[in-house]
Amino acid sequence: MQFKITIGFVLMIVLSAQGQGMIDGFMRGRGNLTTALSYSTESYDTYYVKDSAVNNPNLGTISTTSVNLFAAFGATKYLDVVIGLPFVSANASQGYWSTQSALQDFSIYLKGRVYEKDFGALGKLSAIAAAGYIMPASNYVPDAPVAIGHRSKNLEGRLLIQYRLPFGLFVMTQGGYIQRGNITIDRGYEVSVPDAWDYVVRVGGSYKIFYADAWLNIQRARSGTNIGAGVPFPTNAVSYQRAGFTLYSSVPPIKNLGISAGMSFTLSGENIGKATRISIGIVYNVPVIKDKNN
Amino acid sequence: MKLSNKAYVFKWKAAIMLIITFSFLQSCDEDIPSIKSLPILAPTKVDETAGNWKTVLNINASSISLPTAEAISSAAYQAELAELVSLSTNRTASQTNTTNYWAAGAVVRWNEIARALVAKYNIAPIVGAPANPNKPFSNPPFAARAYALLSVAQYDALVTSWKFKYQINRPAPASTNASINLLTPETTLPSFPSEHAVVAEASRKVLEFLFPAEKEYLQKLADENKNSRKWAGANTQSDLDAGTSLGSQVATLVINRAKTDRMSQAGSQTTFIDYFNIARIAESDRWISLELPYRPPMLPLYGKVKPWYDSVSAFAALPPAPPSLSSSEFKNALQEVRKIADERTREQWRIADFWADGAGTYTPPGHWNLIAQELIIESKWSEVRSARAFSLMNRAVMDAGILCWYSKYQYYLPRPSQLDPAIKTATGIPNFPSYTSGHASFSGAAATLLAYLFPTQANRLLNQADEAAVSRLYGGIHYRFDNDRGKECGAKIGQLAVAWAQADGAN
Repeated sequence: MQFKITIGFVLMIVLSAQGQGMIDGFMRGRGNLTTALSYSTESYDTYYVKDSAVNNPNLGTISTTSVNLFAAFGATKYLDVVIGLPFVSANASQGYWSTQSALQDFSIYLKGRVYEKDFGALGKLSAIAAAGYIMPASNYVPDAPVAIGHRSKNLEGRLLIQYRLPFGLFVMTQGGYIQRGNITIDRGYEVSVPDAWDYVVRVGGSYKIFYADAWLNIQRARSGTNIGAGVPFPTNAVSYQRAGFTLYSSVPPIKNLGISAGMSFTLSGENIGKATRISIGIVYNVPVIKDKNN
Repeated sequence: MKLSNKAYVFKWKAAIMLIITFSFLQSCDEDIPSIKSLPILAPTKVDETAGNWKTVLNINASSISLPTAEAISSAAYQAELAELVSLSTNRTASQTNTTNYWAAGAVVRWNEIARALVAKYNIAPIVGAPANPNKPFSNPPFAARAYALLSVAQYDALVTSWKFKYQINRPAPASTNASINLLTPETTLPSFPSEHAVVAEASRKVLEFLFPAEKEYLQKLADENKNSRKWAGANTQSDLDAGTSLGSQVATLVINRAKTDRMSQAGSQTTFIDYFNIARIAESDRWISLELPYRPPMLPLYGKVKPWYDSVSAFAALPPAPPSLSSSEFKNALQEVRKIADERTREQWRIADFWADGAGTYTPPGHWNLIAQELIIESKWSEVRSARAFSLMNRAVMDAGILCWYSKYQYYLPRPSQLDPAIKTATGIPNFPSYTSGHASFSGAAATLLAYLFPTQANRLLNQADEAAVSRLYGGIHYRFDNDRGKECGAKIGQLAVAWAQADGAN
């Protein structure tokens, strides 16, 4: 069965709003559908104006909770379709800014395994290319101090290389480019949301009923402004280094059901909150198409 | 084997799909030009008689001294024309760009420059930091005065220059020398002194007075503005020198007025610090700062700054006292803010955000300058008539701001969220009392005056003022009566501006 090697995707539900989590090094396998529902909460009271850490007593702690729907489907042995849709709510503990709650961005990725070489007992090397399209799922506010996203339409390309060692261990590295389209803000004019380079390194172990990994994610804005006048703005050049881990276990009495949990930490950044995030999720694998050849 | 062939097909299909998608990454053009392209100004009327229009500071032309205009036939002037022939026929691509930029109109371009500077300096200083004259906080009242000073200097200098233009009557260089490769439209407007140099120098000087740290930047722009006229083939060096001299002299008069308009005391905190210390402890029904740490209020004595229009008539427009906090009228008004905050629609948020013009922007007075600019450009008005519109409007906007501020520090009405902390906002809560709304006051004044100048647009303009006013209620930071009384007061000041416009000789 494919499931043993397909549970790596759980990482994505842990970091739903971030592209780095959407694409992993495992293919679903033809006909297999993985669905997940996750809940995550993230907060920060420190943010970076350019690279200096500041607090804003008029905002206090900014907390974001999200519920994310995720699905990945193996269209063929070599091609997966991955979608995600989070509902996000953000609020500030101090001051009077209104809470923002809305469906955030719908994302869809095509992910294809373009190369694979089996070294037998030494492991297996695979290369995966992915292209994604991200679009806002609602007309949420992108330019308030308490905002849930950029509301830009993005195109994303990623290249991923994974080496699977014996005993279920793996090392994955990926690089990607996120092109973010301009947005028209409520003020009535268009602004440019900076593009970014994104890199992920992940190590872990993937087994039939258990999965664990640790990862490092670096994102670098290609251009953009710094937070000015104390107000974050869609044109800000957001860069960061984050690290985290993910755990997954199947729930043996129920076939194809699993639970996941994860944490992430912002190590450093520019024009972004120094956020810590905790996520939990339930995962259900559905073999939609029975394929004896799989 | 059959199966693996099939698998290869899928594999390559996947790769091709990815390549197609990647190619989109290269095909999107995201550039937003930093400089807005505007049409070259070709005024439908030259306004020959503008030299007789009423000036704001009653400029006496005989007190202005200009260099002598050499005769057309003089060797000196012929040499200047020869320089224009050479410059205009050898114009480089970058000189053409610069020339086109300024050819949109000096008044309009310097208004844009002023808005950009206001936005740049519209950052609240750190609480407790000593005032830095090189870094003024260009908040809305500061900005209203900045736009007024700039527009008055431009207008008075242009009216005076029109007087000299038709006295001296030097024709445009291109009508004397046909070899000039003119980039701007032909004109019958006499060229001495150059209206562009008049505006460039008057604007440069006033803006340097307001933003001293921008001295070099402003000088560079003024030089570029003047040079653009030679590249265009539109003005000779002596046209420009005379314009610079005139612009400078009028700007000095405007700056002298600014030095005595009591703005320098408007930010004085000493009178108010005691009040704050008391108010936080004893008077919960009076305004207190909702910021952490507490910030002294913005320009508490701006209400005492000298207005532009007749001060007796202006102060007759002062808003009445707001309803008492214990009245049912007030309670209903507070309840309305709460209800909107609780049930705010996305469209209400958009309206609140569209008109907010908060930190880091050109402020609400700047927003009305943008609205005016678009109408002025459409109307193809001469430089002097364009300056008149800005001057009429910006004086009204500032005076409405003065009355609004006077009212704020007469009543100290708390912001809605101070009385009901559950009122959450869609915009920042300004750090000064609630009654009346500055946005409504500025907008009432600007729209009333603009509706007079652009009667076909009157409905749209008054609707914009209504929306700007109600945006503050949608934002959750003002009671409806703050907006209504502010807008009424602003409209009355706007009527003073209309009366001025009816009598200034420009109709």
